[in-house]
Amino acid sequence: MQVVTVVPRQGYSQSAMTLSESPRQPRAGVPSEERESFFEREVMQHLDALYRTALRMTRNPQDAEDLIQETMLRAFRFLDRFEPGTNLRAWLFKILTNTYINRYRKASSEPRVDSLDDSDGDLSLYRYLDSEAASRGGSVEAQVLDRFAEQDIKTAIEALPPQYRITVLLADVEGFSYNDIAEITNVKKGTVMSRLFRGRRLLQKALIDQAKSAGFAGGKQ
Amino acid sequence: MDADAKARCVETVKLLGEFLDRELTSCEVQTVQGHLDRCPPCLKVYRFEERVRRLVRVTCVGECAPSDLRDQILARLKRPSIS
Repeated sequence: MQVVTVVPRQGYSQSAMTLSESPRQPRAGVPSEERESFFEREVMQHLDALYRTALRMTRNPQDAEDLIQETMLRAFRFLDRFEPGTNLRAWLFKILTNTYINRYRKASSEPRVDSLDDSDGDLSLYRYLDSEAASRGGSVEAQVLDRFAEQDIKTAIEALPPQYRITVLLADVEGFSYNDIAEITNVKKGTVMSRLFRGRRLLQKALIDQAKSAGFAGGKQ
Repeated sequence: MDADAKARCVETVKLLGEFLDRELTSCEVQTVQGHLDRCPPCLKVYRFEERVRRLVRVTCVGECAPSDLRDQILARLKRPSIS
């Protein structure tokens, strides 16, 4: 899927701007006289989805609103680059992601997650939990999943390193395909897959840790 | 659990994410599906992963943009300096 013209794989800093700097495509985008009506009619439909993603990215409502304002402004400016009939939703999420990265990510502040311990992971955390729960005469469902409030889930998502968080949100909440996510986040499909794998595992781990500290199955022994 | 059986479980669990994401080939889908049909512990892992995913989705999807944000965006675009 070619949502926008190709941008470099490395260096996010200018990626949103690359949209405007790229050479004009022979096929026209949204004509300027239709820009406002197209924006109101088509782009604004995606406001809620963009906002909820921005909220998880920035972790607070005021920053989320600012991020969305800037994203929408850019989307409006770049509409002459958007080819009607291609994936508008993915195109908008790409602008959101670029804007977020430009705005909030300080250079080289990407948290290292290499230290994430994968060695416990042959058969997923669940198996370990399952046996622990069974030994106490319960189920993981009752002891872990059923007791989460919305805020616990949000906290666990927001604790993920940004690149993992964005990837998981795009897949699990917004339902984008791996190819779409690769395009939106400017990485290879293989990177999307490993971020999803590790991101989801980190998320499970965070939820389980929360459950434990809240007294999972009567507390740790 | 013998080594072969364990390897099949490990392989299945590794593919569960892609299975749930509908990103596997039809051949891989059959392999995973076949294993899940025969292996209750892996089926439980599958249900757990599916459930966590649903929790994430339901939690996040419920949030909408503040009602005045829409108006603010449109008002800002209509300022002459923008385009």
